[in-house]
Formats: sequence, C-alpha cells, structure tokens
Amino acid sequence: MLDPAGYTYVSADAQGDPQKQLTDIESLIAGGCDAAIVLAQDSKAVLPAFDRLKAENIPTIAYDAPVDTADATFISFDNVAVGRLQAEGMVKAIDHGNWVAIEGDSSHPIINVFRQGQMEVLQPLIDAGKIKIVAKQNIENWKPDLAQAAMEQILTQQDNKVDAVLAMNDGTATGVAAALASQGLLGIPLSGQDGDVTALNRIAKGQQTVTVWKNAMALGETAAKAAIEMAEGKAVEGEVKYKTESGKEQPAVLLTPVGITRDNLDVVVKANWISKEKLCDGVTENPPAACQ
Amino acid sequence: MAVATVRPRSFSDNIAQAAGLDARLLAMLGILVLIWLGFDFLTSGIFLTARNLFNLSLQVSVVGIMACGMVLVIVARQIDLSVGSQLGFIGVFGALLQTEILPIADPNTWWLACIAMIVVGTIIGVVQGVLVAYAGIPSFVVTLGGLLFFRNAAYQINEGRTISPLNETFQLLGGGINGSIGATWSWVFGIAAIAGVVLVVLRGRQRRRGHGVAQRTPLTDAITIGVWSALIIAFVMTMNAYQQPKTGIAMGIPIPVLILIGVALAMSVIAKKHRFGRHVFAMGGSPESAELAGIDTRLLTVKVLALMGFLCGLASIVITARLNAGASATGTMTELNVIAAAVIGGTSLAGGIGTIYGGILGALIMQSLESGMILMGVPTPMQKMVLAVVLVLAVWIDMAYRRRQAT
Repeated sequence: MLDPAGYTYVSADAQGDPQKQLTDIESLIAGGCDAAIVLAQDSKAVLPAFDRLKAENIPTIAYDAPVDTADATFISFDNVAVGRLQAEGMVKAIDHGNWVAIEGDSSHPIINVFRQGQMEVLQPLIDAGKIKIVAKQNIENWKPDLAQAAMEQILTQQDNKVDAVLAMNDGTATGVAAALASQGLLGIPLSGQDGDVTALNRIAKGQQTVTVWKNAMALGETAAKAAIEMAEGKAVEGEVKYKTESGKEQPAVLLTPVGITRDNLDVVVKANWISKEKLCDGVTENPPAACQ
Repeated sequence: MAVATVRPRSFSDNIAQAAGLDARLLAMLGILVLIWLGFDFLTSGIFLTARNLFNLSLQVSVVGIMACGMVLVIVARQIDLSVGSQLGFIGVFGALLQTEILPIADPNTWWLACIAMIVVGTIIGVVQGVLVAYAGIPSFVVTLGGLLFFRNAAYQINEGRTISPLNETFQLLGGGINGSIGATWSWVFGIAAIAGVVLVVLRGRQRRRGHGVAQRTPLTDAITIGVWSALIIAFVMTMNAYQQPKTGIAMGIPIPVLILIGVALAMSVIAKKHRFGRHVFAMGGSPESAELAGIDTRLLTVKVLALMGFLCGLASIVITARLNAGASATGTMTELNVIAAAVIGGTSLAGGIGTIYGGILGALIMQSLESGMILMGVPTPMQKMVLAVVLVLAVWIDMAYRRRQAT
C-alpha cells in the first residue's frame, strides 16, 4: 500500500528493549521520514521518543500497543472487546461454577485492559454468586511452560474442582491444556487469544472454547493507510477518541477483533489464516461445521 | 573437590558419613525439610500430599537435568548462559521434525526425534566450546551470543508459531497422564536401587580391605544401607500413592523423573570416579597446574560444554513432551534458574568446587518455593522477589560455612 503511494517503508526492531527503541527512533528521524509507526515496547518509556517526533512535526502512529500520550494516533484492536469476547465465548459454554484466571505478564499494562473487558461480562455473574474466581496467577512472559506448572498447582490446590479456565492468550492456554490433560479434564471451557494454529485446532477438537482472533493483515493495512493520510495532512478515516492509561484523550482507529468458537471456525479458513487441513487435523468425533 | 580438613568429628558428621553424605548436604536437606513442613502448614496439608510431591518431582526434572551439567561447567570456571534458549530452540526443532518432516504417527518417529534433538544440543555445545577453548573468547560472551542467537532462531524457524500436538509415544517422555511406569515397575525400580546401594557399600568394604585402609564399622555400613533404603521406599510409596485421576490406577514414578535420576547418577559417577570428571575439578581448581600436569584443558573445556549441550537436548525432550507443544518462548530465563540451582547447591563461581547432588537439591529447593507459593496464591512478582532473596542468602550462608571450615 505504501509503495504505490510513493512512500518507502523503513523499519527497525527494538527486540523487546525500550532503550534500543529510543535510539532506533532517533536514527530514523535523523534519516528523515514523513510519518512514524511505532509498536511501543513500553507505554511510558517510549514517551521521550514521541516527544522527539512531535518536535520534528512528524505525524506518529502508536501501533497495536498503547502509548500514554495525546500526540499520537492509536491504531489497534479494541482490546476491551478482546476481553469481552473471551468472556462472552466462555459464558455461552458455562455461566456458573469455579473459574480460574490465568493472566499475562504482570508488567504489561495491556492485561488490565483485557481484564476490564472480561469483567464487563463476568462481574454481574460474580456479584450474583454464580461464578467464583477461585484462583488467579500471572504468567511471566506469557510462557506456556510456566502456565502449565501454575495450572498444575492450582488444580492440586482446588482438588480438581475447577469448571472453567479463563486464559488470556493461546500460549498460556497451551500450558493450561497440557495441565488439564494430565488430570483428564481436557474439554472444560478454556479461553485464549491470537488465533494460534494450535488453539484453533484445539477448538475444532473441543479442547478449547474460544480464541479471539485479530487479523494482523487488516491492522497493518489500516496503519499504512492512516500514515499516508496523516503525512498528507488529511483526516484519518474512522477516527474516534480513546482514553489512555492516565486519562489523556488520544485520536484512535480501533478495529474490532473476532471471537472464534466452534460455530464460526470457517471465518479463519476463509481469511486464509489457517488451512482446513491444519484446522481439522486429528478431529475425529463430533466435528464442527468447518471440518465437515 | 572437597578440601580435606582435620577437625574433631561431631555427632552430625558421624551420621552424615554413615549415609555417605557431607555435612553441607545434610544442612541443605534440613532446609528442604523445613521448607516442605512450612508450606505444608501454610497450605493446610496440601503441600505434602502425594499429588503435590508428584507434581513437584515433574516440575523439577527439567531444571534438575540441566543443573547437573551446569555444575560441571561452573566447576570448570566457565558459564553457559545459552541453556534456556537452547531449550526453546531444540524444542521447536524437535516439534517441527515430528510434525513436518517425519510421519507423526509412525512408531519410529519418537526416538528419531529424540536422537536428533540430543545431537543438535551436543553440536551447539561443541561449537560454543570450540569458540571458548580454541578461539579464546570468554564463555560469558560466547554463550551470551548463544542466548540471543538460539532464542531468536527458535522464533525464526517457525515464525513464532506453536507446534502441537506431538507424537503420542514422544508425549510419554513428558510424564503426562500415561507417562509414568506404574506401581509394579516402580517397586522393581526401588528394589533394584536398594540392591545397588548394598552393592556399592560391599564394594567399598572390599576396596578398603584391598588398599589396607581403615575399615568402617559394620554398624556404619548398616546405617548407610538403612537410610538410603528408607528414602527409596518412601519415594516409591509416595509416587505410587498418587493415582491416575478418574481410573484410580497408581501412577508410579514419572518417566522424566527416571531420566533425572539416571542423569544424576551418571553425572555423579563421571564427576567423582571418572578421569574426565577429576580433570574438570583439577582444571577448575587451578587451570595452570592442570595444564602443567599434562591435561589438555582446551579439549576438556569443549567436552564440558558439549556435555551441557547434550543435557539441554535431553531436558528439551522432557519439557517439549510435557507441554505437548514446541513453543518458541519455552525456556526464556531458565538459564537463570539453572545457574541459581547450581549456586544454591554450593557450586563455587570461582571454580573447582561443586557437587551434582548439590545442584539437584538447589533445583528442588527453588521449585519447592515456587510451587508452594503458587499453592498459597502468592502473586508472581512476590514469588520472584522471594526466590531472589533465597538465592543471595544461600550463597552467603555457604560462604560463611566454607570460611568457618577453612579456619
């Protein structure tokens, strides 16, 4: 999309290091640019770089991850909706009982946004005494092997009296699924996020209930389109107002993610995200519609 | 290895000697028992259930296997920071091999994949070893490079996608629902282990007679056999007391734990009895003297790091099989757990001092703290803070103990 419009795309990868990201952005500014698309490693540590971009009058997009500033346009998926879709998918399967929450790395502020969405759906049920969150753990770096050990300990602590597991992404769900399998509990409602191939396959097999799929292609296209519009001083299409972590008002374009359950697995196949063969691999009894 | 000191023998020394253990080990066992009892109290009796001890033994196996290698690496005055990344890379490689290259359901797939994973680990170790020993680059730098390289290679070779499920037989190596050997075989293992202890004690008597060294009293030997037999029987009974959920069949010893025991025994023999191990300790104690004594210290360094890579391959099999998935984030930061286990177990970063069983006990202490705190519902950042304090405290106590012994 950028090339035909006469722009060149130059990129730098900070590899998870907020410090490197700052130097990267400085050298990109020095090299001259019309617009910057930044995937922030940290919502606050990246602010000095955003100040530099503003001083140079370079229109800036905060891509995917939130940045706590009013001076950039936030282009991301609606992450509150991610949490909401996870909870809605789960509640459709079970609206009561003992739930376990497996959350992401506690140093990533985005988990609070996911939780906010989850609670929009779950809080009324918790208040009514139908759902009880019996255990909660954060998983360092969202590592599947740690999620497995944590889930094993929680199942031991609860003597297997767990009815559903609200996992925040598909990686941790992989660890949870392994822990459930070793207790013969695989198949109880389990959530995820990202639309990982393995998670979609689990949904087809009835081992996971829901994943929230964010079409990365669509996000990239939206960001590129917005960057061109901003560089040319036009209004960004579909712009709304978004409140940042500290309450600053930020222009934003928020795409809606899709909750994938057994009933709409065909969506990811049609989008060429996963082949039918991979999706339905190992599905034997009671195949979902997408595998028939 | 241990520096010989002459001092009056205390009561605890006598018992320790009877069990063939040193006083430091006894102290570590004491601390472990205290931690277990403490958690049992704090979790109102959940911690010391057969089920939790079964979990614990599985959870400790990966770091335990790698700690055995790390002890020797540190004894040789080197470090390996790449072990966590190797774990991730070899895991993704092994998973890809099973799902993309070999036929996944074929009965030969599991062992072909295992051999390939171990070979890859060993090759990584050899390459890093050559860079350290022959190119003269410090191991800290070489393996820091390895840490970055293999973590990113783990993402690169499959674009960060998780690969699952894996071959069914392969999964057993991770100790899942069917990955234990059952009650009967666990008892067979226990009896064989006790027979092994008796054999070792008898051979010790024979050797001392042959060399004309003062014989241990029969009572001491009887206590040795008694203590070890009791530990072995308690272990087998615990593993058998945990039943498969739903069917109620006794689980027995999980396969990863058998692998860990095998590695620990083999590595202890290598470290203590084998020429290779003695050379490593000599080199760690004083590289110059070792070289003057005719030891090829460069080749030895390559071998030590190759052995570490071999064990990374083995550990990677266990963690990948256990998770039933090859995920590129697997093993991130695990190098720190492995090094911490070796250090808590009394391995000196100055080189020349360390024991295999110390490394495993170190791993067990850390995993007990982590698992116990999850049972109590302690938030993750708090868990890490506690582990950090324990690490520093353990080394401090260890150094104080060594200083007291030296005077």
